[in-house]
Amino acid sequence: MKSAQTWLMSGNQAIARGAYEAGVTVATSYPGTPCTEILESIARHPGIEALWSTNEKVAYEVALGASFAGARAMVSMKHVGLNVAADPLFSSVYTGVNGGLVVVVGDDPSAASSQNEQDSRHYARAAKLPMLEPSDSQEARDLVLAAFELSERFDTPVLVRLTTRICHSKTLVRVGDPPEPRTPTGFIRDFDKYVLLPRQAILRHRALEARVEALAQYAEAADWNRVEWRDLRVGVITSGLAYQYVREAFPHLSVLKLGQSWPLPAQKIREFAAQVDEVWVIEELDPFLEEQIKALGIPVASEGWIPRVGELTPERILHSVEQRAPQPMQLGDPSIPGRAPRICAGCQYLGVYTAISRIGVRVAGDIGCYTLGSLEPWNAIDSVVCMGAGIGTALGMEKALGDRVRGKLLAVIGDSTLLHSGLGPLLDLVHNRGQTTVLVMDNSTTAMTGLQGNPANGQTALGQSGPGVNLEKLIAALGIEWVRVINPYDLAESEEVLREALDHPGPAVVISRAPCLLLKRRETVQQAHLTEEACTGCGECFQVGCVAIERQELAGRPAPLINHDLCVGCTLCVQACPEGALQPRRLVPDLVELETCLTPAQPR
Amino acid sequence: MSDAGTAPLTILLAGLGGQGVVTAGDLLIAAALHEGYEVKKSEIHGLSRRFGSVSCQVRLGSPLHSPLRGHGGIDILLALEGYEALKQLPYLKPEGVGLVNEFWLRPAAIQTGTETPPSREDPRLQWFPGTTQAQELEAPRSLNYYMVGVVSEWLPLSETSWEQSLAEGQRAKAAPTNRQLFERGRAAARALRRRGPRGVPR
Ligand code: SF4
Ligand code: SF4
Repeated sequence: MKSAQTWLMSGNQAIARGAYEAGVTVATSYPGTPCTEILESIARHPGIEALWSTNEKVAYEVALGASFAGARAMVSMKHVGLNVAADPLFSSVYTGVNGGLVVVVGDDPSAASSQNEQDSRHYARAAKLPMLEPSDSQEARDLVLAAFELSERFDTPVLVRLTTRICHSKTLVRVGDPPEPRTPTGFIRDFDKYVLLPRQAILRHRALEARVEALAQYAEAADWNRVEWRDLRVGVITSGLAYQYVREAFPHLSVLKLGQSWPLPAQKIREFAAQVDEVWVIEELDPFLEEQIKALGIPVASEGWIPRVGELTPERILHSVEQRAPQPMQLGDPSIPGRAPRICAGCQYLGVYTAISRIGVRVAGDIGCYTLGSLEPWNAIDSVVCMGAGIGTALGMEKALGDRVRGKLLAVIGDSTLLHSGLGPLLDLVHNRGQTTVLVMDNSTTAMTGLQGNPANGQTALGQSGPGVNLEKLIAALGIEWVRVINPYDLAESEEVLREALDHPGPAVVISRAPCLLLKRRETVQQAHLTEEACTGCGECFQVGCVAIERQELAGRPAPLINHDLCVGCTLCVQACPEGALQPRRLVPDLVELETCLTPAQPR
Repeated sequence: MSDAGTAPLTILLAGLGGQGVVTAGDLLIAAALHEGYEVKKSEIHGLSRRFGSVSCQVRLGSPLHSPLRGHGGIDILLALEGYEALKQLPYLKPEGVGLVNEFWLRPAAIQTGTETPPSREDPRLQWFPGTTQAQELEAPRSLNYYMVGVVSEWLPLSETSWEQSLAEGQRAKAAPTNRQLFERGRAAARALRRRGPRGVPR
């Protein structure tokens, strides 16, 4: 069957399609914006083992194992996930592959949903594996197919680098045919290749250096590095989405579009540079290409012009080039207040953070929806670094300050993050005689990225369900004797148990357990109502931080105005009010649908 | 594909989570695809889903390279809420047009402060009673269809393309109301344009 179909696809969907057409057998990932949708999309294709792994390192290793077994395998993750997977990444470049192995990484310029703005292209050079960079969805699909060929031809994993705008932009894609069935060869024992003992490591390193030379040679003729001749006064060298911006901003200039950002086709670059009066290098984030091009002895006229912070747009490039200086990052009109993300009305976190802010402790946070507890009105989180960092940093503070922080240190971590990379630190806390209290926020899902399955809820990417891990038993097995589960909707209990845990000599774990509100559309059976005469304007209810609690003025005093489109009747504000001015009132029979306030951006 | 003569047109859609901004973008895309245009669309996902601002850009015409434009690069701003419209104004071209639903939801930062919304005096902005109209039909969640009807008057897309777009992926139950709101928006925009508003990009 010859299909010449054209579909409108996001970069993520196109990657998934490319992997499907390439005959991928195993695909793995850990959810993370901007790449989450790749695995979700792959899971909808027939005949592929799609796996949500516990973390990116595991995801990488599972894909590598599949490759060792002769299957084509793909692993995808966000930029910071590649840091987690860096260990197997570097060494798998030594072992090489059997079936093709493609590693997709999504960078996040402007850090729209991330803790940093790293440029993952540096990994290609550091670990010495080829990197391809698509500039739209069509190339995402095409280059994934090319990456599998490259991987098998050169016996190496291949990186494919995306950025948020590629992942989430939809452009037209000519798709190819479904794959021919492939049968993995099976694992073929090869001691010197797959067992990286010191002697083998040196042997493999030697082979690797030769491979890099061959890859650079191959890049000279590869069709993904292409020259577009136009006006010869300026030649722009660019890659990824920056190529599209350059075409938009300078439609008349000659361009060398590098589909491969490492290793570079040195000869091709030299020839291009020789034909133009001056060379500009325009790329998003770090001067990765620019530095390599300068190292070839080619002067780069645009040096210092291109912004290094925040994502580019065609206008920003134009302006920076005109001014010969980077234009600072701009979003909307700064005089109009933005809308910071908020915790959902009635979420368990409201109760927990209200309790924490009442106690007043130093809190080392972690990454998930609960990171929002660092904002007003709770200001409950004092540090957020990376996945799983909270427990370790809290222990470090404890070791540095000893008695000064005894009973005043709390690490907060979600269930999915705990399983991702929090168990090691928790064990460390026990082993090194720490006394830090750990609060596990168990909402039975990976909520921030759109409700993926994880080992705690027992849901897999392919829709299998099971009991999931028992967190209490798991934590107890690490040697923590003091473990308590709280109902986060009971404010007094939460506060009391947390105080007890903090006072406990030795490590203590509190599990706050209630399902994420997005998991099930539940009926709202009651809502909070204000008795105006009883309200003294003390403001305690505002400290709950619920989006459904707006402000009004009553007799010159601030008073809550409950937004009944949003209130789900969790009663946290009712418990917080010392005057009994807020009371739950049952809703009959006209039930308010929770969905009105909770609408995920992506159709599910 | 459309003939190369149709210069690219860029529409920035903005609003709040739950207002159907992304769906509105999809309706534009479907109509433009039916018309034979080349299209690109850029969405913002991630953190923005929780009660936050939602925006996307739809581009059609050719030659089309970037999926998005920056400050001063947008032809039409279609906003489902007032503050979001004002927030995105720097993206609008000096000669562009902003089509805004008359609805204000104060961001948390000013829930306490001023009651008065910021100035809406920008002459590029045109205001439409989408929320009132949607409530009249007891379909507050179909507001986006009204605003798509409004913007349809500014887009080089035929009746058949809109027919197709509206017919695709519709929940049968809501379809007639959505259709009605689309028509009302279109009529309101037509009336406004007959009265002779400022120049519009075509
Ligand atoms: S009961 Fe109070 S805290 Fe709970 S959702 Fe309603 S307004 Fe918010
Ligand atoms: S906590 Fe009670 S008394 Fe205090 S402002 Fe809120 S409603 Fe009024």
